[in-house]
Amino acid sequence: MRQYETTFIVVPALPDGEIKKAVKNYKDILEKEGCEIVHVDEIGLRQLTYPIKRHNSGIYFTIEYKSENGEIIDKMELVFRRDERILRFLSVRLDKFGVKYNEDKRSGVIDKRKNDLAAERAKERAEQEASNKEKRATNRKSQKKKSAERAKAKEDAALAKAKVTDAEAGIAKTVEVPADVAKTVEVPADVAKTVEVPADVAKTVEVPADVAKATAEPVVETVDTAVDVAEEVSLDGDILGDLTDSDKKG
Amino acid sequence: MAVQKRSGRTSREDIKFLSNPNIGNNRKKYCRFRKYGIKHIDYKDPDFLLQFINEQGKLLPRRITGNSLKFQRKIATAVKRARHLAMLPYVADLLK
Repeated sequence: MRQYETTFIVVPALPDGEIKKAVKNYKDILEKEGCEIVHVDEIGLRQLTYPIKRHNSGIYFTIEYKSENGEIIDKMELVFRRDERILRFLSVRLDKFGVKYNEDKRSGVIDKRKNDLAAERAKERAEQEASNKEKRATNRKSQKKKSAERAKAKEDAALAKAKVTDAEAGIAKTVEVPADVAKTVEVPADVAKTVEVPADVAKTVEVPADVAKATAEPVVETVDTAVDVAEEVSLDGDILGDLTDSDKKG
Repeated sequence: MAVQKRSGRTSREDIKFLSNPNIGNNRKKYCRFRKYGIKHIDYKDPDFLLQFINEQGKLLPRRITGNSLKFQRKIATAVKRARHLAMLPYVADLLK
C-alpha cells in the first residue's frame, strides 16, 4: 500500500459551509475509490507569499491516504482543476521516512523534542549568564585593587623623578609639577628609571619653562645620550658631571 | 628574489606569507541531517526551510549550508514545492 499526501489551497472568502463541503467532496472521491484515509489536516488561513488568481490568502488542507496504485491521483487532480474554489494542489508520494515523520508529528513527538531542546538551551544560557555575572563581579574587585596599586607606583616614581629635576634646575617650583604631571601623563614613570631624565622630562613636562628652554634644542632633534644633552645645556657642571659619570658606568 | 617591476605595486610573492588564508577555518562543516539523523524534510514547514534560502529567496549553495549532496537535493525539492504552494516566494526582497 502506497501512502500519498495531497495539499491544496481553498479560496478564503467562502462561507464556512462551502469550505467544509469542498473538503468533504475530495474525501468522498478517495473513499469511493477504496483508499484508506489516514488523516485530514487543516493548516488554516495563511498569507500567500505571492497573489494567486488575485487572492492574497488561502486555506490550506492536507489529506493523507493509502492506495494500491497511483491511478486515483489523476482522477483527483482532474476534479481539482475543474473546481473553481481550489487555487493550488500538490500530490506527493511519501516514502517510509515521510510516513514516520508524519506519524511523529501527529503524536507530538517532534514538537516535544523541539521544546525540550529549546528548554535545555535556555537553561544553559541562564547558567552561563549567572557564572559570567560572578566573573564580572570578581574582575571588577581585582581591577580596583590593581588600579589603586598602579596609582601608588606612579606617585612614588614621580616623587623620585622630582628629586632629580630639583637638583638639575635648582628651582623649587619644579618639585610640585612632576607629581601633577604624573597623574595625567604616564610616560614620566618609565622615564624616571632611565638616566636620560633631563631631556625626556623636558619633552613631556612643559610647565617648568626654565628647564624647557635650557634643553629645547636637544629635545627637538633626538634623545640619544645624556652626554650630548649635558654638553649643549649650560647648567651647573658639577651636577651634570655626576650624571655623565653614572651614565658611563651604566 | 623577486624584483618588483612596477614601483608601488605589491607582487604576489611579497604578500604570500603575511597571513594564512585558512586562518578562520577552525569550525568543521557538517551535514546537519546526517549528524542528527533527520531523514525526511517537510515541504510544508517554511520556517525550517528559511535556513536554506537567502534574503532574495534563492537556494543557498551546498558549500555554504554544509549539506551533503543527498540532502541538498531533498532541500531543493522541498523548497520548490513550498514555492509552488506559495509558502515561500520565488522572488523576494529582504526576506529575512
